[in-house]
Amino acid sequence: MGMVLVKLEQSTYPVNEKQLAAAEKRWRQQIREGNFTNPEEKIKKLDEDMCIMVACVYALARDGPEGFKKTVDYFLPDEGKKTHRNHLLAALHHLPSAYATQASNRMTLLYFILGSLDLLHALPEQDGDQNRAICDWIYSCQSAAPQGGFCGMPGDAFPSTANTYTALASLTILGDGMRRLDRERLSHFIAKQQLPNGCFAGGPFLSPTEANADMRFVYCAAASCRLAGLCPADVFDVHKTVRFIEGSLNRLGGFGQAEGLEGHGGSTYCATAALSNLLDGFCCHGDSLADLDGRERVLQWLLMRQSAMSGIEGRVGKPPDACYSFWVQAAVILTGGEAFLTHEGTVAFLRQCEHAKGGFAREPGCHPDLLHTYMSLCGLSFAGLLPPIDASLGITLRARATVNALRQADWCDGPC
Amino acid sequence: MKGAAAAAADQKIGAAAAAAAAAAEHDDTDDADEVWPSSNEELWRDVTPLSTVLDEGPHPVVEIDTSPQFRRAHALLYALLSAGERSQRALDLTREVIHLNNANYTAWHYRRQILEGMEGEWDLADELAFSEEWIFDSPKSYQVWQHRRWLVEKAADPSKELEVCASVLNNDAKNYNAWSHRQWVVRTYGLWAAELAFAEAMLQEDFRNNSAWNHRHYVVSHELRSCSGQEDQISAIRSREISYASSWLALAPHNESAWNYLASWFAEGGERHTAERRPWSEIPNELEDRIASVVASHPRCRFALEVLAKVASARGDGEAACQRWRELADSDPVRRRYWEYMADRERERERERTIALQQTGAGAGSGEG
Repeated sequence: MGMVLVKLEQSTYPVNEKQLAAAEKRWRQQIREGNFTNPEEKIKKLDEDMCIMVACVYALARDGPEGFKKTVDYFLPDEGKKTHRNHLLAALHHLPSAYATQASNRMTLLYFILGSLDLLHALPEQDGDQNRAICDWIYSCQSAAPQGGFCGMPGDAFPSTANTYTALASLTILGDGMRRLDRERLSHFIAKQQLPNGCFAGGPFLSPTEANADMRFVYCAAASCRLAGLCPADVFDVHKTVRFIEGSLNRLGGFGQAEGLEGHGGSTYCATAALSNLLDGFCCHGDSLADLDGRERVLQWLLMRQSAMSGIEGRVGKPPDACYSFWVQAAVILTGGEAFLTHEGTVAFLRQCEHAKGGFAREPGCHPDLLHTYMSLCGLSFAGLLPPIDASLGITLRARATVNALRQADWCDGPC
Repeated sequence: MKGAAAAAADQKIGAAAAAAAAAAEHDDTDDADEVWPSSNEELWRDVTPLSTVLDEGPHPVVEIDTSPQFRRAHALLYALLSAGERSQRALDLTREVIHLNNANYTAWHYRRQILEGMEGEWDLADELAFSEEWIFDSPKSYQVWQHRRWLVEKAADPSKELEVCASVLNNDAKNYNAWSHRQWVVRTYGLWAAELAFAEAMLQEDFRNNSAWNHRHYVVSHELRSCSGQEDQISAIRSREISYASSWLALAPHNESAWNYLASWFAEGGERHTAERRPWSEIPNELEDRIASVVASHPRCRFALEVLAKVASARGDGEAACQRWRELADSDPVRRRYWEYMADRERERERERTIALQQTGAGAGSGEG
C-alpha cells in the first residue's frame, strides 16, 4: 500500500505500512478486550496509532455510510484491483497442483474466476477469441446423450448439479446466447436429480438414500432452471422441493443442509436463494419470501452472524470466514433485511484476508483460494465497493440483464 | 499419510493449502512403496487411455498442474468407464484415483457400480475398513461419507457407526458430515436410546458447541413426535428442556446456543401457539427471575435483553418492550439499525392498540358494541 495519508480531526498524518500494522494490531486487541461502547472516544485514545480501520470507523461516525465508502475507496486503490486481476487472469489458464483435489470441479473454479473478473471489470472481450474459447470449453463439458447437464471437466462420465449451475452462470457472465445449450436434456438431467423427498442429488447415484444430496444442490437446480430460461414447474415437482426447504428450517436458527441438521450460513443462503428462484422466478408469479413462515426468525439469526468488527461466522460459535460475507449477507438481502447490514466490520475483516499477491483467504493468515476470492469480492460488492450482485443467482446485475435480454429474444413467450 | 492432512483441516487453513499439504504427504511418505495399478503397463495393454481427460491441447481453460501418474490413472479410468468395464483391475484403479483425488465423485460412483456388478466377489468388511480409513483421512469429504452410507445400508449393520462418528467428533466436535451421518444412522435404525446422553456428554465437553445443542434438539424432537397429542407429556418435556437450557445461562450468559435453544420453546409474534411452543407472555416465573438476574449482573447481555423485550411485547407492554429494544440498539452497535427498527415497530403497534382500544370504548359507549 505504501505511504497513505489519513485525515483525522483536521490534521493530516503520513502513515507507513509498519505503523499501519502496529495500529491495526493494537486496535484489534482493544476491540477484543474492551466493551466497545463508544467507538469515537476509543479511537481518539488511539491517538497517533492510526490505521485504515480507524479511519474507516471514524469516517463512518462523522459522515455516515457515505463517508465510510469514500474512505474505503481511498484506501482500496486501483493498485489492489490490478493485483487481483492479474492473479485471476493467470488462473483462467492454469492452476497450481494444490488444486488437484478440485480437478472434478474445474467448471466451478471457472465460475469463481469469471465472477471475480466481472466484478473487477476485467472479463475477456465479449466478441474476442478468448471469450469464444472459454465458451467452447464449457460446451465441451456438456454431457452427451442421454444425460444432459454439465460435467466439471471435459471427458468426465457424469454431469453434476453444481457444475451444471456454474456452467450456466459462466455462460451468462460471458454473454453467451446459449444456442448450443441442449435444454431438453438439461431438463431431463435436473428432473432426474430430484429425489422423492424433494431434495436434489449432487452427482450420479445408485439409489435415493445413497445419493449425496442436500440444500446446496436444491439451490443449484433452481438457479440452473432460471439461468437456462426453464420454468421450474415444467422441470420438476416444485411443491415437493419447497416442502423440503421449509422442513429444513431449524428451530434453533437458520436453515440446515436438510431436515434436522444444524443451521448454517451456507445452507441458509441456498434455501432462501432457491425459494427466491422458485417462487419469485420470472415464470412463476408467487409471492416473495415475505410469506415464508418464520422469515423474521431467519433474518434475525442471519444478522446475529455478524460479529462486532471481525467478519461473519457461518454457524453459531464458529470463527468468522470470508466466504460468509457472501452467503450470509446475500441471505439477509433475500429475506428483506438489506437495510440492517453494517459493512465496516465485514470490509475490515476482508481486507485482512486479502493476499498481497492477489486473492482472498478464508481467514487472515491463510492461503488465498478461488472460492474465497469470489465470495470476498461479493462481500465488497454488498458494501457498495464493487458493481452490484444479484443475490439469488450469484452473478452481477449486469450479467443478469443478459439473461433477461436473451429470454425476451428467444425463449418463453408469455408466462409459462 | 493421514496425519498432516487432518491437522491441516483442523487448523482451518485454506482448502488449497490443505490440498497441497495432503499432496506433499502422498508424494513423500509411505506411498513411495505402494505400487499403483496405473504403473503396470502389462495390465493395460488392451486399453486406450482417454487422453482428452486433463489434456485439452493448446488452449486450456483452468488447467490444473497434475503429476504424470495423476493424468495416466485418470485417462485409464475414464477409458474403462466409457467401456462400462466391471472388473478387479477397474476396482483397483478407482482406489488409485480416489487416492489421488478423493473428491472425484465419478471415481467413487464408478467404484460402487463395479462393486454392485461383482456381488459376492468382494468382502464387505474390507470395503468398510477402506471407507473408515478415508473417513479419518478426510472427514470433511462428502464423497467419503456417501460411500460409507451405501456400505452400511448394504451390510444392514449400523453397529459401528456411532463409534466412528464419535471418534471423528472427538477430533473436530463440529464436523457437519459426522453429525449428519450420526443423525442418519439414529433415524434409519432407530438407535435413539443413548443419544440424549451423547449430546449431554458433548455439551459437558464444550457447552458452546452449537452442533451438540442441535443434536439435543434433534433427539428431543423425536421424543416429542412419539407422544403426539398427549399434551401433558409434551408440556413435561418442554419444562424439562427449558430448565436444562436455563441452567446454563448463569454459567455463561453470552452463550448464544443456550439462548437459541431456550427460544425454540417459545412462539414468536404471529407463530401458532402449541403445547410445545407457548407465547413469551407465559414465560415461567423462575426463568424470568433468572434472566432478570443475568441482566442485573450483565446489563449489556443482548440475548437477555432480547428475551425481556419479547416478553414485554407479548404481554402488550409496548413501552417496556420499546425500552428494551432501545437498550439493545445502544449496546449492540453492529445491529443498531435492526434494534431501532424493532423499537419503531413496537411503538407503531402500541399506537394501533391505543386507537383500537379507543374505538372499542367509543363503540361500547354508543351501545353498539
